[in-house]
Amino acid sequence: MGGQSRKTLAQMLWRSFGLGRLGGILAIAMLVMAISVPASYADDVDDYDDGSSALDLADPLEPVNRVIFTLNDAVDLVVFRPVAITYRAVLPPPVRLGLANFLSNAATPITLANDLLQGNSDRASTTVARFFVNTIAGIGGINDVASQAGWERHTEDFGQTLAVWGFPSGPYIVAPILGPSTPRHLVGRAVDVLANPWTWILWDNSFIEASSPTLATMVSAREDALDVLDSVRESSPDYYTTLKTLYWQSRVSEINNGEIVEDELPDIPDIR
Amino acid sequence: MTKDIVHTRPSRRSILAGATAALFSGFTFGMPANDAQAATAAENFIKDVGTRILGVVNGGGNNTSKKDKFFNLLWSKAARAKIAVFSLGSYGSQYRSLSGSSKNEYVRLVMRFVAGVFIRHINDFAGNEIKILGSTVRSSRDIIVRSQVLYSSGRKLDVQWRVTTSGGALKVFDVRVSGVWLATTQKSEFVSIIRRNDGKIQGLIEYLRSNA
Repeated sequence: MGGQSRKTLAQMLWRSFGLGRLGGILAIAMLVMAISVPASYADDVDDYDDGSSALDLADPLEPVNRVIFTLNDAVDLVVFRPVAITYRAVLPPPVRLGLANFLSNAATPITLANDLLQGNSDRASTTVARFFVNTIAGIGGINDVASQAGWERHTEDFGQTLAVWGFPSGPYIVAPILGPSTPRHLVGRAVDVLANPWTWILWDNSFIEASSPTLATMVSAREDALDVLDSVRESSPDYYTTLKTLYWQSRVSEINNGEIVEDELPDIPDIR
Repeated sequence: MTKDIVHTRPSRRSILAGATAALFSGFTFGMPANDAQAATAAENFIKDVGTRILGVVNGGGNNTSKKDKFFNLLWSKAARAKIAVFSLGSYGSQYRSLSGSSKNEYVRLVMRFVAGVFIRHINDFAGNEIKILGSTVRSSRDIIVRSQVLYSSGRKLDVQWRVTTSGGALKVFDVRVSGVWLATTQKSEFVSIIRRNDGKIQGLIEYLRSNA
């Protein structure tokens, strides 16, 4: 780790292209996308489509977004969904849960760093307690015994930290492969990849080894969302629009740690 | 504007203390008596509605009959017209231009659509009990009630309700599950349909006739 940490950002960016480290490539792609958003849109942060509430996200790039969304959906149907179905068929629920718990535990450094950056010492102490309890008593994080002891799981990321610091979200963006996002979220994702110790620990390993945490997280998350996405795809009048609003409302909820921010609620129509 | 008046489920002792204080000060649990009454009424209302919903979920019958039962529940307990107009987003003014019978049909179709969404996710709500956690009175016609659905497995699902009044009675305006408000989601979908139909509400009505 010591030698790795002395790498400059330029070296890392270069090597991520040269060696094809998935996390590094995704980080760079996210940064490029985030800074490529026209300034007029980036300044448009918290403008909402009908001006109705903060739960609506402006989508001035909708024509482009829909094209990328269609491509993403095709890739999902051909690659990610079948992989997730196979993953579900091959591994029994306890094994999948154990892997999801392990991956969540391994992401603790990111959550802890962002707990602290948001000045939330209570949640930071919960994150630390969860990490030690789950790593030791939970056999490396496979069992989430901390939740049973009252330390509920939560996640934080740098995109949420930027939101807490007051940075505007920018408009809705559908990123290739990554899907629903905003410039703020993309920057946050890129920073999280760069700040994640696993990115550096696995840096000199083979492509598959270095990319395994990212790939495992993607497969686990896709399997977890199988039923919901299948249901939405089947029943939604407009899959693109439904995923957009589900993404944004979930994101707002994450940023607010699950609490309702009353000022963000739309008005109730004044009719009988 | 928000009054930031929060009503947390009180203990029996605090009920007595609060009731005593209310006799002398007109305030209960640190909030004006009217708001305390509104909070209690909204919580009781949601407890009743939630219990009825669980009754539909866990009761007998196939999904078609459950959809009918849930539709009837919506018809009596939801703020039908408010939800129907809200779902039109920036096209809400077109509701006013509809004839009386078209308004009735549209509202009925929206409630059928909501019932259909509920039926598709019915297994997610197969809990044993609904527990009221507290409420926030924003105004007399806008109260947020926080609850949990308790499952036999020990799982707990947080559900928040936005309660309003219509015709003098309490009605459900919106429900939030896993951070997602259902009416807001429906509004996005309906607006998208209207946009794809040259901004005409008739396109949405046609869609609902075929799919609700």
